[in-house]
Amino acid sequence: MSVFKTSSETWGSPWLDPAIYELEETGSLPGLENLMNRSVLRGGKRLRPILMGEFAGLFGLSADRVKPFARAAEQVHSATLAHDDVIDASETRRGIRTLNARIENRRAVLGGDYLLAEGIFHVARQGHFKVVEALSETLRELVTGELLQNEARGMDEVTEAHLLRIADLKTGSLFRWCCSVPALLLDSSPEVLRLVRDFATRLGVAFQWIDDALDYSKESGKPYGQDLREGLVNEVTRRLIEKFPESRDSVKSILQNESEFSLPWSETQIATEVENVRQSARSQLETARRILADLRVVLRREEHPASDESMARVEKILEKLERREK
Amino acid sequence: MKMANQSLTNESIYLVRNSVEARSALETGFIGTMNGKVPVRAADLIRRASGEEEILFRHRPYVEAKHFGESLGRFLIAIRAFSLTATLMPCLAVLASGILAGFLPRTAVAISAIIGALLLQIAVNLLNDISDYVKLIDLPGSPGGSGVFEKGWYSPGEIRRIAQFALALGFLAGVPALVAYPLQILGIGALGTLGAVLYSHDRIGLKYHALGDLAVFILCGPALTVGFSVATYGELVPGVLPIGAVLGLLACALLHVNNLHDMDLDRSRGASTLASRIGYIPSARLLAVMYGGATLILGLSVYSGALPVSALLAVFAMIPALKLTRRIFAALGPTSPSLEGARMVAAQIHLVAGVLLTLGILSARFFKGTVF
Repeated sequence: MSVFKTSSETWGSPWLDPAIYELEETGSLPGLENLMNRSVLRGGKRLRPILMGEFAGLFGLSADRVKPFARAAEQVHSATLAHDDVIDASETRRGIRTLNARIENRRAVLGGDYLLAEGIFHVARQGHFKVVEALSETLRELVTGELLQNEARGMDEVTEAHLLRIADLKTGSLFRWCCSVPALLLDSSPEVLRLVRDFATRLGVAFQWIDDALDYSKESGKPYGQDLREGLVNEVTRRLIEKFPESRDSVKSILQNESEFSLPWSETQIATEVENVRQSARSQLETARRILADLRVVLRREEHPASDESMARVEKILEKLERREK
Repeated sequence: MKMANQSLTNESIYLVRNSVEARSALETGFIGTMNGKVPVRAADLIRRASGEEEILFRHRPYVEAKHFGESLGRFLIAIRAFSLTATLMPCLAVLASGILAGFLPRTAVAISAIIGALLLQIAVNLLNDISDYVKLIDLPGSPGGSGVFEKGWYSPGEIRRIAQFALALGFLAGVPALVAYPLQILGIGALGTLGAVLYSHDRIGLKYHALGDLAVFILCGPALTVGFSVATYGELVPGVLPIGAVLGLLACALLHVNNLHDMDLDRSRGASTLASRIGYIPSARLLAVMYGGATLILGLSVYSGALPVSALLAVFAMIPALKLTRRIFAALGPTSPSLEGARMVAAQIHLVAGVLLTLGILSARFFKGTVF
């Protein structure tokens, strides 16, 4: 149950309708489209479309105006998840069998590519060059982030700079696009775009760090320490290694699958660093709030009919993120 | 302490960038609050819609070292001990060359000159770190910096005091050499000081105008070996220039690897190092040229008789150099995690080359009259 599905009156409930994101089973590949509708396009918090919808409200645009772009955002995100599932050989995601668990890897990769192409096609059809340009930049950043993360697989010497960069590229990039689309559609000023992008960047990093904290939560619904099992050091793990350098060798052998999965830290030690990472995430969200306040001022100055309701809902998203336990 | 332009949350304090409080917090590492002085570090820079920039300061609890070994380790990291090889090795190699040629070193002057040079380099390293921190170049998450502020090991004020102490001691240590050869040492010293000051100067900043590599080559190469030779022996001993050229190139390679790794950060803040100007792959090729050039100069120096044959022992240091160059070519780019530790490897190459060169030169003394 997504944490964002708390109240259909409060949240942009239209964004939770799965029908928005499903591929139409058109001429060429209805079998694949059906498979993707039942796997990688199912479930999820729909945070990206929700963000885009709320930012559309901030800029006085209707939900329908941004629906094609919101759909594309979720398809792009799902495409990256499909590829991730192949790389990680995951059998399930969100409790549903993954695409690669249903069909062979080659076809699952191509399926992800097809989803990506669908997203880009429908964005391009809207005819807004700047939005297409921004999406292509986003895709480049997404892939760069994936490549950098993959290169760090099995490595214990991962720095904060590296993890921040990956969070920015993998998570922040698509958040930036989602928040920027309404501003781009209205040809907003560079100042507005800068504030929107800054906001989304902080949100992306906070989201990733909370995700990293939840990786060490037994209540999250995900396997405990999944990142480490997949050979990846996340922010919590990095801080634990830094604080307890004697644990480095054990972590290295786990990362390289040379030993059984047995964490070299106590539950208290882990809990302390989890809380520290959450604190860092809260700090990012605090900064995001300050930027949002600035955005409100600038939007008023530029005579955009910034909706107070949408502003309140964006702030609510930040609060929910801060308290996220799943 | 009166706080202006500040807003306070539980763990963070936002201060306007050019405010007195912000400058003080950056310099000292503390902010005065109603509850007393709080240790802080700069964690983020935010550009507000008003045009002002705000620095986010986070509470930086001081982390006590558990034992002397840990304290020493922190100190060595703070002074970037691995980079001191750039100063030490050329001096030792020149010392060896003079001994081989039968010169008598002025031991006390030589030791004080080496100590002086090391202390000056330590001071430059520390002042460079503070400069980058105060200019908000080394915020958490940036690839550069020793990380000592962020980890709560030292405050900027403490580092500045250590730097000033090292600078003063370094100048004092150079006095014996200055007394022995005033004109020569003044000349070399002035060149060294000018280079060190201009290296990261606000406006001239050699390292920000793609001249850092050249400056390091000269200052950690021929200028250093010539100065040390004069200080120790009163004249230029055989091989002083080839030693300077070889080790200068290796010191240059160390800097170049560092700049290669920081390329994206340097570009984002408008700092134009040679690496950021020419790009990643050309920089990797330039690194290969530096290591190849050092090897070639070594070979030619031996061929011409400027250095003994046994100096070729230093060629073994080129094996890890070749591996490092390959690793850099194989990495995806400057932000690739596989480049972590590359600058340490480059420093080790310099160290090993210097040690092997020194031992090679010294060992020729025992084989005089034979093939060497």
